[in-house]
Formats: sequence, C-alpha cells, structure tokens
Amino acid sequence: MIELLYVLAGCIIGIFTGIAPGIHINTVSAVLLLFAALGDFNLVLLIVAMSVMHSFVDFVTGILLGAPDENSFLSVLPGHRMLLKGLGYKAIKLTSLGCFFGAIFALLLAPLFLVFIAKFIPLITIAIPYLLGLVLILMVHSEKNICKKLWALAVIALSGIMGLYILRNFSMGNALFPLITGFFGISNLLFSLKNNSTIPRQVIESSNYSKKMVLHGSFLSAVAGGLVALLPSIGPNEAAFILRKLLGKISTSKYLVMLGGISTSNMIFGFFVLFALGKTRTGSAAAIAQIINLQAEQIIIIALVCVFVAGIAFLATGILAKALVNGVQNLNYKALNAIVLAVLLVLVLLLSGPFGLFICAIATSIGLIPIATGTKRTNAMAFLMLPTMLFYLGL
Amino acid sequence: MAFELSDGNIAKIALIASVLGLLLVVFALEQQKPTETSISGILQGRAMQKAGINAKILSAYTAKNALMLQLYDGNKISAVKFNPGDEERRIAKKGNFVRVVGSVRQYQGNPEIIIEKIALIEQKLEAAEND
Repeated sequence: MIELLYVLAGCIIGIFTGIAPGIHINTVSAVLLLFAALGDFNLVLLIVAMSVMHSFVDFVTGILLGAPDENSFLSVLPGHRMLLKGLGYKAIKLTSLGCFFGAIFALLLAPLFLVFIAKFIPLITIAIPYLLGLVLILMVHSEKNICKKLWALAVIALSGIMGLYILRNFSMGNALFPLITGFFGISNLLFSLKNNSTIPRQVIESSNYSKKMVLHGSFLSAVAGGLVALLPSIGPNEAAFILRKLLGKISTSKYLVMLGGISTSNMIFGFFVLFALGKTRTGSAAAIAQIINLQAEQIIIIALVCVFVAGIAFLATGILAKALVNGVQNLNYKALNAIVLAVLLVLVLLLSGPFGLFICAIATSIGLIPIATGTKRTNAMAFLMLPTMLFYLGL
Repeated sequence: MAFELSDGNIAKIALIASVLGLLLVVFALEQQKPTETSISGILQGRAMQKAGINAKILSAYTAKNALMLQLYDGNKISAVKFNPGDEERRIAKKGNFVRVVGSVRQYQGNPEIIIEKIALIEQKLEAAEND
C-alpha cells in the first residue's frame, strides 16, 4: 500500500516537472537523493513514476510554450506548426499516444532487449564513437544545400567545442541545464518573441487516429528507444532523426507519435540498462543507481509500475492538455513567452550562477543559428556527442 | 540604410557572438589558476572550479579509459583522470604522495576531482621497506 503512495507521489511530481518549464526530473532526483536512505526501494518507485509521467507531460509545455527540454525539443517544431494551425491539442494527443504505446512495446520487448545486451554490448561499446560520428555526418549530409551544410558544420563545431570545455571543467549538474536551456529553450523563445507569434483558436475535440499509424510508429520508436538507451549522449531526438532518415518521408502525425514513443521507451529501457549493465544513461537511472543495486524481482516491479503510470499519464495528459490549451489561447502569448523566458533565466542564475548565465548566453547564440538558417536544431547535440566520441576514442 | 533583423542577419550576429563568447570561455578556463587548498576545503565547498591539493593515494585502479583514485590528506576524496598516459599510470600507485590539480565537480552527490595534472611528490618507499 505504501508503495502505491510513493508511486502516486511520483506521478504528481512528474506532472509538476513536466508542466513547469526549466524544472527537470534530474534536478528533482538530485534533491530527493539528499533524503534517500540506501536501499529505499519505495523512493526508487517514486523516481520511476516521476520519470514516466514527466516523459508524457513534458510535451505539453514543449508544444504550447516552446520551452522543451533535451528530450522534447524536436517535437517543438512540428508540434508548434500544428499549434499555429489551431491543432495544438491534437499534437499533444499524438505524442501521448506514442508515449503510451511506446511504453507498452518497450516492456514487451524488454526480455529480447536484455538478451541483445548480453550478446552484443562489447561490440556496441567499441562501435560507440564511430556510430556517434556517423550520426553527426548524417546530420550534416541531410541538409538541403551546401550553404546549410556549412551552417550545420558551424553549429556542430561550436557546440562540440563548447561541450568539450564546459563539461570537462564543470559538474554536469551545473553545466547541463544552462547549455540545454540556451541551445533549445531560450533561443526558441527569443525567436517566438521576435516573430510576434500568436496562436489561433484551438480545436479541442476527439480525433480518430489511424490505429496502424499509431501502432507502427510506436513499435518503431520502442526499438529505436532501446538502441539509443545503449548509446551515451544520443537521446530521443537523435533517435527520431535517424528513424526519419531510414523511413523517408513520414507524416507530421506519425513523427509526433514516434517522438513520444522514443521519449518514454528510452526512459524505460534506461532502467533495464541499469539492471543489466549497471550503466546509467538517464538522470533517473543515475539517481536510482545511487540508492539501490537492482535485482531481478525489483526490475519486474519497476516494469509493472511503468505500465500502471503509463495508463495514468495518458489520461492525465489528455486532461492537462485540454485545460492548458484553453488557458494558453486566452492569454497574451507573447507575454507568456516573455514570462517563461524570464523564469528560465532566473533558474539558470539560481542553479548555475553568473557563469552559468554566461554559458547559457553563448549556447543561446549557437541555438539561434539553426533556427535562423533553417537547419536542424539537433546539430547542437554535438555538445554531448563530441566529448563522448573523444572519450571513447581515448583522446 | 536601416538594419533589418532578418533571419540572415540574426544568423550572422549569432555566429559572431558564439565565436567571441566561446573564445572568452576557452581563454578564461585556460587562465584559471588552481586554488591551493586541502581536501577538507573542497569538501566544505571552499575551492570551487579548479583546485590544487597534495595528498596520498589510498587506492588506484584503472577502469576503461579512466584512472580512479582515492586521495587522502586527513580527509578522503575521489579523483578521476580520463584517458591517462603511461607516466600518469606510473605515478598513480597506492601509497604515493602526489600533487593533483583539477576541476572539482559533483558526481552522484559527492565532490570529485577531475584531474588535469598529477605529479609525484614522494614515492612510497617499497624497496627500502623490503630490504
């Protein structure tokens, strides 16, 4: 019974972190760890519930406010496009469908995933720097013309060097937040303010979604989420990019489903990677690793909690989306963006200090380049990928 | 001619700002002198970004591309050297007294030194003890 209370508490915290721009589950996990007793499995369940719920709700603010985190920023573009057409609610529903079925497929695929890990992990570890390099090359190559390719290279170089210096000299906790906020949050908000974005009347109604599209997209996203869970510094957005490259042209709806699916399945597979390899690929897994050494019966309970929370999260996201879409369209959108921008700046200052604000400013400058040039924002993820590549190459 | 805040101009301004900002960051980090302190100072949060300490190596082992050390000067702290060279592996032996310079970061809730430089002050006199 007490376990259920911890799970429900995790759900509530996950809703809060998903809605509040700039408040991340990693930050909350770090605070929770201060009060954690070693071996406290109830706290582990809270963190699991919080993480799964957050992966659903995070798309709400990402799409409505243009304030994504490192897992949802790629959704902002197509989601925002739909918002500007009055279909913001539908965009959120699509991501939450992806999250839900992505979670289900992730749990169904988990046994196969564990077998795959056991067999192929030494090979994958050797291949990591080359895979990351290949992703970077693909990202540049996929730009439409030579001018955009050069801009993409510039963003990769600048963000990569930024990551190399900052992440090697500062704690991840201090450095990651201002970097991500600058690259993907503030840059996006500044552009929204500059363009005087206003949102039209939103349509809030039940839509019929193609079952085939949703299930197919969620299944592929679960597979991608699993593979990506094995690779350091590659997140859901890069996985979505790779899938898009492999599948060719896909509809915006399917893309949003896939983004949702990858986000949640990646989170869930992160727990299985922790169990199987003792390696942490997500902040939540890192927090859990400090509390407990996962055993077989515990990972089964975690899997069950994931299913339970996925169901609650799907319902909760629908209710929240209706409320927030109604709220947002009655507000001055420009003023809302300005407030979110101010909140993020204050958070950066409080959590990372004046130097963090400076780092955030540089990251914002870099983040503005892809928006202004029409190139992929995911190029800025080189800030994580390049240091990781060099580390695995022994440089 | 009025300056237009077009996407093209924004891209150029952003590029210049990024390059200048990055150069500033690199310059600032390269110029940063380590704060001479002790492990106790680091644990109390006195030394923040870059610290220099003298300490004894309590334990040393290599994991993948990293050299993991436990340093001691009355207090204990973990230290890690990524991609260590042969000289660094040679110096990092249990019982050796070393000077370590590096950045201090929080890892899993505890302060940890990311070693930039490690130099031998005094080697453990194993040979003399065995004579």
